[in-house]
Parts: sequence; structure tokens; C-alpha cells
Amino acid sequence: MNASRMVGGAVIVALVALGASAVRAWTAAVDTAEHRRYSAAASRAQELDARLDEEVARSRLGLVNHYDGIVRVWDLSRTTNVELARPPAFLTDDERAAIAREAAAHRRVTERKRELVEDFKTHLAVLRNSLRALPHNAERVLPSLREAPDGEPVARAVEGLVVYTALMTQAPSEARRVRASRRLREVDALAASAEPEIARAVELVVRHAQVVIERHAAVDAIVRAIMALEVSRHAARVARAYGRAHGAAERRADGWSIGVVACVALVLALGALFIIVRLRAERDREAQLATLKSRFVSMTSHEFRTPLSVILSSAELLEGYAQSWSAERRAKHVARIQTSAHAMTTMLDRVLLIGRAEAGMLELRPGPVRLDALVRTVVEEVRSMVGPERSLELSIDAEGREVSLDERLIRHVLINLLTNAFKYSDDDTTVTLTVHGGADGARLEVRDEGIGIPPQDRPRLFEAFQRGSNAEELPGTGLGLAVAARSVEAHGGMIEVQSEVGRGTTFTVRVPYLEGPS
Amino acid sequence: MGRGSHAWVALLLICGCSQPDSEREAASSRLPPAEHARPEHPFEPIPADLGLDPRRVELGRRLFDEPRLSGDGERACVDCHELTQGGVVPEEARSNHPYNETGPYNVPTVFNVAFNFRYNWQGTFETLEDHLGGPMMNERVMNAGSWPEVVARLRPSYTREFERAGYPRVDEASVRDAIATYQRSLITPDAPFDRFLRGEAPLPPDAAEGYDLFRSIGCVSCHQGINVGGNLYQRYGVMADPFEGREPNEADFGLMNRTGRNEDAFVFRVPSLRNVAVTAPYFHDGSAQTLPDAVRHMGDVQLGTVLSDAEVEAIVAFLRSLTGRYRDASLAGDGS
Repeated sequence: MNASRMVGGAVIVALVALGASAVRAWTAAVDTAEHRRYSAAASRAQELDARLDEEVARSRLGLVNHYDGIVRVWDLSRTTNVELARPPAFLTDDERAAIAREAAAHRRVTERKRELVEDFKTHLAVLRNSLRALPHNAERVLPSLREAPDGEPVARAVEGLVVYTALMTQAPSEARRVRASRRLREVDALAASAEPEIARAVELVVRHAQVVIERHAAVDAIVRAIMALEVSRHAARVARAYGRAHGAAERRADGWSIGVVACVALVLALGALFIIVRLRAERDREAQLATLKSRFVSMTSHEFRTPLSVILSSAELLEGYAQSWSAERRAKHVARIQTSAHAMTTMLDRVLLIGRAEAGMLELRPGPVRLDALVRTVVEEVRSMVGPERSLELSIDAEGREVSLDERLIRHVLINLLTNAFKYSDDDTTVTLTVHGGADGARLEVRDEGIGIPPQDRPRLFEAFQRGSNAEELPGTGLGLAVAARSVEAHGGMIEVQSEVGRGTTFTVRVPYLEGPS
Repeated sequence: MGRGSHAWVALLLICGCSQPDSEREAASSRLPPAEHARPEHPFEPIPADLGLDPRRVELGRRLFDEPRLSGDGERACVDCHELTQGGVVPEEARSNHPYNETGPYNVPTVFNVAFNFRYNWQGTFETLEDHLGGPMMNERVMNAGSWPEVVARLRPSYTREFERAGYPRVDEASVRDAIATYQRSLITPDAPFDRFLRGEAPLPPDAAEGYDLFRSIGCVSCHQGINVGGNLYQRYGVMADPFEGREPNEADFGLMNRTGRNEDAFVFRVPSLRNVAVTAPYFHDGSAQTLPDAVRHMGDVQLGTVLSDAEVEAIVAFLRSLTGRYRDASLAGDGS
């Protein structure tokens, strides 16, 4: 029973551990959807940056002439950065902070790039317009310049300006830019000194040339600055930081999952053990019951048969010879019948009492008892049973006050211990009963100088139908000590035995006074 | 490929994240394909539908018309963005409109904002969701107070409708999302120019002539893409002083007010020319009352070109072909 209780406790502990580790495993678990969201955002951030560079290059090269492509990439980039700012919740605070730092760095570079791209769009729009408008306007003014008086040098200068700006834009170099600027100043100076109509016609050409010369290099510088910003590298750093954290989170989750599996295994193993222990205890109890039954049968066949045969033979004798026998002889046989029947009744009482005790139905009936009076009555009773030749020493140390005990059970205990003491000792020895009535309980001690109890019999001494191995030739039911022990236990007391084979035995009983009517 | 299909691609990307296999490859393979050059037509037609959640669009419409969004409970978004009037301030209300009294900027149209790259004249806001807080919290516009106050004003009567639209509760995020979703739904497909781009119908002769001019004189440098503008910043007055002698005021400094950079002075978000014929007045300060005035002014200060009356007329004819349809009715109001 103890083993199964221990195993049961271990099962509960293992279940608690399972619950705890399951909770940890649940919180540490890597949320797959969240993981996909974040890792997709991290790789998308790199992809989008490459796409942005491509869109900028396309715009610069004139392969597209609207900015919707750039706007679309920014839209995606903005939502992606919002995602990157929210690392998954299954990471630790430190991991999230580390990733958030990288994401913030990425966002800063992205913002810088965005400003540059906006500048690029603004400048490129104007540059592209002037690149187209410059030759167009020059073509428009050249014929009228050539027709105007003193217009020819201006026309030649305008032609030169168009050629040099074209050269500068087709194969950009600082030298070509300087040469184009020189032509621009030349046209400007000639126009300033020319007629007002010529000046007005040339003014627009000069403005567009100015835009081309100024902004062509500026736009290309912006493009170089855009391409130099390593947004992709920062996005890759975010992805790497997240990859590391995710790996650590997976290992943590695995650890807790292993914990859960281990706890499940432990619970299953302990559960199986619990069942085995319970089954074994059940089997042991059944075996014990079987032994008990066989002992009961052998006991009854022996112990009931003896008084019954006495009763039967005396009854037969009385029936056959009662007329011829003296009154004294008849009385002797009647007494034998009575004694045998009384012994059987006592035995049945004990069997029933044991039965009730084993079933847990032994009822205490506390009542006011004067300990000294009770002991003296019992002692007188026992003396009359064993005869005047046996010596019984009594030592009572109890006040005359009333205490609360179940008198019937205490009587059982005393009578059992005392009759046993006489039964298992020689006629010339003395049995000593010491009674001490304390404040809270009583101590009863019965000492004999008898055959003693072998050590191997002591563990099962108080079990029913169990008898000492050195007492088999003496009559007995094996019930007396069992009843005594149950009675003491019912009082919440204890019974102890000290014994030496061949020297004697001492039973000590301690019973606390009961609460109840006293 | 419009931004609608673009949104679909984004959606696919997100959905792709929940699929088990090799998300890295999936992510890259599902990016929208790079555009191929169509230099002769740097435009795209507006798609018929952006695939928005109709329940959220409907909730957003109710909120757009809801004066309780404002502090005094008297101004709704729709008061300055009248859908029957090109998505701008109704003409009859213009003279005594609160924005005219107090606000320095001409109200931009709410149509086709889904395709703009940033919002308001200074490009302050990156998304419509962010932008909503601008006019709502501006003391001179809707003076809504704070978001908790707005939510408290809406909550009693709107809780059920937000739930029906799939929002967990009435809160700042769901109000922003619903209204932005509605604004994205305000697209005007099927302008004559869109039908031309799709190869369904030629432009009328005068508009076709204007379209050639639009490209040849350089308008197209900035006004390109699906929204014919709305996707970059540009300086107002590239070739000449646009203020014609007057002192520029704070609003005229545009982007510089936000960035503090000197080179951003007089830089504005280039407005979309979609429906421009029905969204007078023009420019950030509303200084041009008519389309011919606006075209002439742009030719002058942006391109350094003095346009003839015939050229202006042709360009205006082209710009009229940019007037689309909202809910099966032309914004031009002429039943076309």
C-alpha cells in the first residue's frame, strides 16, 4: 500500500512537471506563421532595394518615363519596414531588441535613400525636359537668328552650345562640362549685347542649357549616392540577426519539447508502475485472504471440533448414564458442556470482532471507566480461569478517578494478554501486570517468564489466525492478539512486544483516554 | 498594371507567407514584374476596381459624411470634398468656406488619391491613414480634439456597424482604416483618355492635338503615370518666378516648411491632373480660377514657354479627356 502511495505521488509530481514544461513549451514555441511573416519581410526588404535600384536606373536611362514603378516599390518597402519593426513575439526581449536595432539602422538608410530618390525624381523631370527642349528651341530660333542682322555669330554660338551640351551628356566628363559652360557664357554674352528680339529668342535656349549643364552632373551624382547606400546590406543584417534569434528560439522550443516528451514518458512509466504496484498489492491481499481463509478453516476444524466433541461426548454420556450417575458426576459433565460452549462463544465473538475490525467497522463505545476497578475485576476473572495455583502479581498506579475508554475492548485486551501469558508459561512462573494511569492515557504492561516469541514470528504477530512457530502444540486460535491489537488501534493507542525465546515476553499497551461521555 | 493589381500582388505576398514551402523564393517570385518601357504613352488607365472590402468602404462612406468627427459636430469630410463637385469644395460654398477664411491651401480633390505617392501639398503624409489625422485634428479645419474624443463621439451609434465591417471595436485604427479604405475606393475610371490608352476609342481631334502638345512642350515631364502627376515633388517656378512680383507667403514655401531645407523652397507635390477640368480653382493657393489660366501659367513658369491661345485650347481639350466616371456617372456632369 505504501509503495503504491509513493508511486501515486510520483505520478502527480510528474504530471505537474509535465504541465509546467508544456506551458513553457507553448510560450517558447516558434509561431510558424510569425516566422514566415518576418523572414519573408526580411528577404523582401533586400529584394525591394534591388528593385528600387533597377527602377532608378531605368528612369535615368530613359527606359521608363513615369515614376509609378518607383512609387510602387516604395509602397511595398514601407509596409515591409513596418513588418521589420515588429520582430516576432516568440523571441526573447534581448533578441527582439537586437533585431530592432538592425531594423532601425535599415530604416534610417532607407529613409535617406528615399530622400535621395525624391530629389532624383524632381531633378530628373526638369533635366529630361530641358534635354528635350534645348535642341528643339535651338532649332526654332536658329533660322530667325541667321536672318537677323548681326545674328550669325549668335547662331553659331547657339549651335556650338547645343553640340557641346550634347557631347557632355553623351559622354560625361568634367572637361566637356567646362567646355559646355564656356559656350553657355559665350551665348549669354552675345545675346546680352544683341538686339532685344534676339536676346529674348535666345533666353529660353540659355535657360535650358543652364539646366542641362547644372543638373546633368547633379542627377548623376544623386544616382551614384543612391547606389552607394547599402540598404540591401542592412536588410541582410536584419535577416541575419533574425536568423540567429530564430535558431536560438528553435533550440529553446526543442529543449522544452524534449522536456514535455520526457515528462510524458515519465508519467506513462510511473502510471504503469502504479498500476503494477496496485495489482501486486491486490494479488498479495488476495493471497493473504486465501491464507487467512485456509487458516480459518484449519483453526475451526481444530478448535471448534475439540469443544464440540467434548459437548457431544458429555451429552451422549449424560443421555446414556445420567440415571445411574451420581449428581456430582452429572454436574461435572454439565460443567464440561458449559465450558466448551462458552469457549466456542468467546471464539465466535472474537472472529466477529476481527471481521468487523478488518472491515473497518469496529465501533468504539467510550464510557466512564474506573481503571483500577476494571483491572481488579479482570484480574479476578483471570485468576478464576487459570486456578489458584498460578501466580499473578498486580501493581496498580492509578487514581480512582473515572476516565473515558471502551470498557469492553479494554477487557478483551487485558484478558487476552493475561490468559496468553499464563498459557505460554510454566505453572511455577509468575505473570506480572503493571497498570499506570497517567493524565492523558493508560499504560498496561503484561510480563511473563514463558517460552517467548521467535523473532521471525514477530512481524505477523498481530495478524489474525497467526500463531507462533513454537506454540503449535498448544491449543489456540491465533485470534487473541489480533483482537487485542485491533482494540488498541481503535483507541488510537499502540501495542508493543519485547520478547526473548525461553526467557519470557512483555506486552506493553498504551491507550489514550477517549473524548466522550466521561 | 495599375496599383490595384499591385495591391493584389501585395496581398498575394502576405497570403504567400502562410504557405509552407520556401517562402524566400515565393517572396521574390511574387514581386510585381518590372515595368517595360512605353515611352510614347507614359500613362496607365485607371482600373475598374481595386478589390476593396465593400463593408469597409460603406462604413468609410458613412464616416466621411459624419459631422460628429469634427469638434463642433458641424463639419464632415464631405463638406470640403463634395463628390458631385469633383471631390473638392462645392463652387457655391467656395466664397465663404472656412478653408478660405483660415486655411492657406487650396483643397485638393479626394478622387483617385489611391494613386498618389504622398498626401497634402507639402507631401506631409505617406499614407491616407496617416493623412486623416491632419485635417481632422487641424483646429482650423475639423478641430476634432483628440482620437479618444472622436472615438467616444462615434462609439454609441457605430459599434454595430464597425463590427459588421469586421473591426473588433470602434477605435482610432479602425476609423482611420475605414475612411482610408473609402477614399481608396473613390477612383474615376473610364475617362476618354483611359479608353484611348486601352485602345478602345481614339481621342477627339482637339484632345489628340492637345495630347501631342502635352508631351512635346514638356508637361509630361512631371504629369505622368497612372494619375497624370501625383507621384513626385517639383519646384513651382522652374523657369520663372511664379508669384508674378508678389511676396511669397509662408504657404508658398511648400515642402521647405516641413523639411527646413532651402532647396525645398517652393517645392510642392505635383498634383494629379485626373478630373482637373472639374476641380477648379488651381494651384496650392487656388490662384488660377480657370483651366486655360492654369495651363498658360504652367507653360510660362514651369516650361518657359509662352503658349498661344490655340495651344492652350488644345491642351485644355486634352485635359478634359481626363475627366472620369464615378459610380457610372461622368464627373463632368454632362451625361457623357
